[in-house]
Amino acid sequence: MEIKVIKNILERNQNAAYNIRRLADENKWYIMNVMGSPGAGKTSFIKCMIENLKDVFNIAVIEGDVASTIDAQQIASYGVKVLQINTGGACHLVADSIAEAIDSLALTPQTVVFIENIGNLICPSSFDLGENLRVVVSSAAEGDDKPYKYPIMFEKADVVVLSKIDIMDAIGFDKQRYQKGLEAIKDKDLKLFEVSFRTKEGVEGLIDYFYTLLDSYFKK
Amino acid sequence: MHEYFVTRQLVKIAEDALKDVSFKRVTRIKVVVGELSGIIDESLKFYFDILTKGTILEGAQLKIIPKKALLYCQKCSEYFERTKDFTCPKCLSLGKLTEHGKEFYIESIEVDD
Ligand SMILES: [Zn+2]
Repeated sequence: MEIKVIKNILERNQNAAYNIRRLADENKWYIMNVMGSPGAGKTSFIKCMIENLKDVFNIAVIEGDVASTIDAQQIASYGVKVLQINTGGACHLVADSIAEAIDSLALTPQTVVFIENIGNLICPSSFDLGENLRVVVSSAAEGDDKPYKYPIMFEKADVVVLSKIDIMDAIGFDKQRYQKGLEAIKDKDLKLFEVSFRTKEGVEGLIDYFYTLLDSYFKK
Repeated sequence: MHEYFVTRQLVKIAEDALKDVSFKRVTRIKVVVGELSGIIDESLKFYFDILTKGTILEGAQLKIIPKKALLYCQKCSEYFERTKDFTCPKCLSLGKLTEHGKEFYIESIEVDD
């Protein structure tokens, strides 16, 4: 006898993500899931956001990447809440652990939450964390073929931050090829920022974008 | 790894589906896995054997049905298999990613009754 099932295996995670989204909506939290390869610049992105937005918004950080160089003490000194999740060597974060983290952070309403996901371009893309926005940080150093190799990660992104653009010319990065890949995946509804956190090129535009986005979210 | 977590979910779903069914033993579970789902067949099988030990699923075969990623060409109104750079093999315009290739679900469970 054959029993028809047809059931999505990731359903449980999706239910947990749904609950987080409902809670975030009630409390007006804005959750960002920051993903990318190890060393792509996820930490630099979050640090840059904290340094430039901490005087205007309440910020909290959920740290899922053990390799992150975020200095919890330094960040706490800015008045930003930070929590490190023990992921036990997993390759992605799941919504259940985000729910727990949010609970123990005792977030106040109107808070921006950055989640630094584990450095991996495949696994995290399948796991909804109940976020409002997905940011993928992808560095020029990783090559211009990333969108073709990991299309799902980019398809699920709302914002792509292409980092380390200061080394583009030196390594022969083909920007057109990269952009064409993104276009095939996302049409026009993807925001692409090209920045170097080292030379600060393009960083101002990135900060402006997030400032405007968050400001209008909290004013609504 | 990833597959450990998802295999646990898979086992739970299968157990739930079998709750109200009477049978002698489970022979096969069919799981559809898309090329872009991020799931590696070998490790799914590896964890399946470990995680089903001592459950009603012990000894069942995990049958993986692979699905290719298909892109869609708007010009030709046709689906095509992923090439190196997403261009349509017929007209060379840029194809779009579709739902084909992202599948990851349990299709059916076979039991001896
Ligand atoms: Zn075509």
